[in-house]
Amino acid sequence: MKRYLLRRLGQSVLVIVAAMIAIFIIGHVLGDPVNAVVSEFASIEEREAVRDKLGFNDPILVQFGRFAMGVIQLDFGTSPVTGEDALGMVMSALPNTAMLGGAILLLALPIGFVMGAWGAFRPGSFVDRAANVMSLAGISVVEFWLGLTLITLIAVPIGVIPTGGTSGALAILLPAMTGAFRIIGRVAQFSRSALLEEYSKPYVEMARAKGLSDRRIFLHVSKNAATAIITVSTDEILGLVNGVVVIETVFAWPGVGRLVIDALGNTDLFVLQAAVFTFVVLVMVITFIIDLTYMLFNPRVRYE
Amino acid sequence: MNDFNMNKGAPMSRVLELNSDPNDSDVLLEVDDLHISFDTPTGPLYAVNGVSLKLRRGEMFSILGESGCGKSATAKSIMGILPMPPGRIRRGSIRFAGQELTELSHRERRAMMGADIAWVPQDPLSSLNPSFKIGWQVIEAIRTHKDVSRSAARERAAELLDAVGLQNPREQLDKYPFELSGGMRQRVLIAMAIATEPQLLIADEPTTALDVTIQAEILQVLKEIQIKNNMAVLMITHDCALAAAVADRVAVMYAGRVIESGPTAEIFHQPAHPYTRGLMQSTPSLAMDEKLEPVPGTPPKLMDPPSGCSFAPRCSYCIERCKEAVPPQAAVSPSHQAACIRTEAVIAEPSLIDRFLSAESLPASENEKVTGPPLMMGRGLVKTFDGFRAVDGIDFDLHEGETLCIVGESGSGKSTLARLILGLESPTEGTVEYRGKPIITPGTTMQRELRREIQFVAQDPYSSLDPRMKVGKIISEGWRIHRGLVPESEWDEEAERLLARVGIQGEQILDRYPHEFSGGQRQRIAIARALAVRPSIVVLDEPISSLDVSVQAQVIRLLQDLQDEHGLAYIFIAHDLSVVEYLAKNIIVMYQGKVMERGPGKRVFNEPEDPYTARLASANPKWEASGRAVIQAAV
Repeated sequence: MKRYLLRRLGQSVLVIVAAMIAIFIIGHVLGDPVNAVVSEFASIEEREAVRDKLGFNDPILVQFGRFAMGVIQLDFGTSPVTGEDALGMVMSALPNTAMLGGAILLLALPIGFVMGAWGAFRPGSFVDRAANVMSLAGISVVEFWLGLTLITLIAVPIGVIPTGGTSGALAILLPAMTGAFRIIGRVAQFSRSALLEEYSKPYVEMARAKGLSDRRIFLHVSKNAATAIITVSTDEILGLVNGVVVIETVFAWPGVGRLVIDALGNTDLFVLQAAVFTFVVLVMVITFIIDLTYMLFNPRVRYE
Repeated sequence: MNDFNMNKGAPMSRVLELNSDPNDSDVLLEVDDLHISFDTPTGPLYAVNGVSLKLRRGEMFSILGESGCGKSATAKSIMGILPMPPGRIRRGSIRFAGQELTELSHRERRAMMGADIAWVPQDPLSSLNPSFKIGWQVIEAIRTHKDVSRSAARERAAELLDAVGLQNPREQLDKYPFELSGGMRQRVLIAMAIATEPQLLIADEPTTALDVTIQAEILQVLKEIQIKNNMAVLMITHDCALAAAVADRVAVMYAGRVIESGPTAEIFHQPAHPYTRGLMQSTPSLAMDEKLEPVPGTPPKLMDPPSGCSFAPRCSYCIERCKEAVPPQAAVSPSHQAACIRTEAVIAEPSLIDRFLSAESLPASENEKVTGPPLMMGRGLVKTFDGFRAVDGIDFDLHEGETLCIVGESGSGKSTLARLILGLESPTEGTVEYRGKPIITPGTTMQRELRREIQFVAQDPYSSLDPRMKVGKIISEGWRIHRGLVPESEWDEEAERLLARVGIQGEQILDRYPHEFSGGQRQRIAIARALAVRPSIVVLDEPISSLDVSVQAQVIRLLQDLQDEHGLAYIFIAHDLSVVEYLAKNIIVMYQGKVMERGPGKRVFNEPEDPYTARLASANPKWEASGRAVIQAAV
């Protein structure tokens, strides 16, 4: 167990280093970094001044050393657009993204699981078919279209629900629904098949022979189905890291995703680097937590 | 050694008296005219067609039958775990301790399950929930039916594990199922079943998935508890000798009906139904010096049962009248019934037991003097996996036309050895020579032409035939690789001839897919495939262990005939001594990768020199003159 955690930590460090190199190469080596910092209308003199000031004339290894030292000290530079610390901007947007992501999962995972369980007990029922449609539609429909559709179909006619921003508790409703849609369908589908598979196993027959109640048997089954459900949830949670970029933009939600889009538009390289780096760390933290959850449900993983 | 035989000392007169009085207050379970069907997409399947049984308190009763005979459906409906739908109890009654079970509500029924009637399943490896600790699961069984504290239940759980013979019961409570062996898990399941001291325990083939030495131990545990708790046991099995060893009374089922029932010794000493007799004759361990007499054909399809006796199409005693109506139960003796109108003719036959015993007492024939160099020779074979020596220094000789049996329980390394011989793995050390030339050495694989000489028949015919390949192509595939063996224009003709030789015939047989055939037929196809490329050696990896008893005998018989015709040499892998004793002049007993004993089959079986071989031999059921059998578990 301890060895596993140590190995896992070592792997994480390697991934961070790799991500750091990738971010540096994309920002500084492929193309002229100055283009990513100044506006396209800047004069040649302005550009050269910026190049000099930011040290883009130094040898590439020196630049990398400087960048790496910055990352280690959590200093990605100052945004030339706002004049604020780049990572600071990301950090202040992060709680909003976390809130949106949390809301999406809170909505999607339980509903998906319940729909899946329902489908397992009543194959072919309305709920079962709805889950199938949601899963298929969720894959085929792009999120910005879904978001706009929800605004048109729900927010506009009802009126009380804001179409964007963070004002009021209801504001999170539409972005959360947009993000949750596909996840509900996918989690429902996988929960259904995982539960059905577990229900056909001999230990369930044994549990019945022990005289256990249906609820008790469901406990037996769901602990075993959990691994498969967690796996598909992981997929979806990680997909969400991309998804929020779109959703936040559609709903003017001031999170990291929107910050990324803004940074791209404003040619704000340092904010972009800080945001991408933050996403990398976030994905790693999420997968680490999920691996720990696997252990909770599957004793074999724990002992290996 | 611990000898057990359930009926020893039980006065026969009492058994007769009990049998003659159906209203005996000792009756615990009474099944009457039970009919069960399963709904399938193509219509109902009639699994159980009028089964009547009576179990007394404290007795061990066995339902004996092949797969699909309705024994499991009967047991599950008594237990209350028959899946409904698709299962349906169409008619009949199940009375337990005076209560009609079919009329109880779901809730009332559940209160009895695991409390008054308990279940020991067939597959201990998958019948415990893999995600919960042993203790948690045993405690759950206790607390479902008894209002006791967690700590008291835990105390009781430890006692129970101790009672079923698990070492360090308290430590076992904190383990997960995957940390225990199959035998240990079956003990846990038995502990769980007896947690509430049920009056009836139903065991559905409780030892089928276990090694034979473990089987002996488990049966002994069951029997001890049965006597101690004065508990009735309903044991479902497909193994005549096992039923003969443990049961007080036996009911033989065929095609959803009880075709014969009565006291164990009577049934096996002088079976009155042709099917019972056929089953006994199909058991290979016994008819040592004669060829087996398998029951021809396969059990009927239960979608559309025949109108008369369902065994008639396979029966050598069959007369015209048998096909007209279902034969009624006829009394052979006051306690012994058979559903057959020809019982007199069957009883008039000499007792099989006598024949088995006389065959067993024949002197052990010495190894036939073989002349010339061996066809195949293995020397110093070692195979290690990550430092673990799966095969640990094996020598063997195989002569032309000879059968060499390699016997070992799970984990003995016998399958790894087979893979080495087939050239599927290369050995870590040692060589295999074929006709005097080394063909397998460490780090090399066999040449293609040699692979043709050594063919393989796998254990499970359900997964060893490509489900998307037509039978004709399965047979001719070898000819595609080994060109020049059969001219392409004759492939179809030759494939049909081969299939006919193994007993597979029919319209457009070459265009059928494996799923259209039964297990026994598939194994025949696999044998035909092996023979197609005209090998000199066939490696048979437990080729009959996934088949039904009556079909096993047919396949063994076929293998023997083919050996005689083609002078084939067989390497026969087996997990116990029963088939081996009958088949092989030469056997090798393996344990933990090493050879424990080698020699002529009969000598090894009857006078084992090695303690492990002795354990293996004694765990194999042995018939006694009384018509019962003995299984010995090591102490």
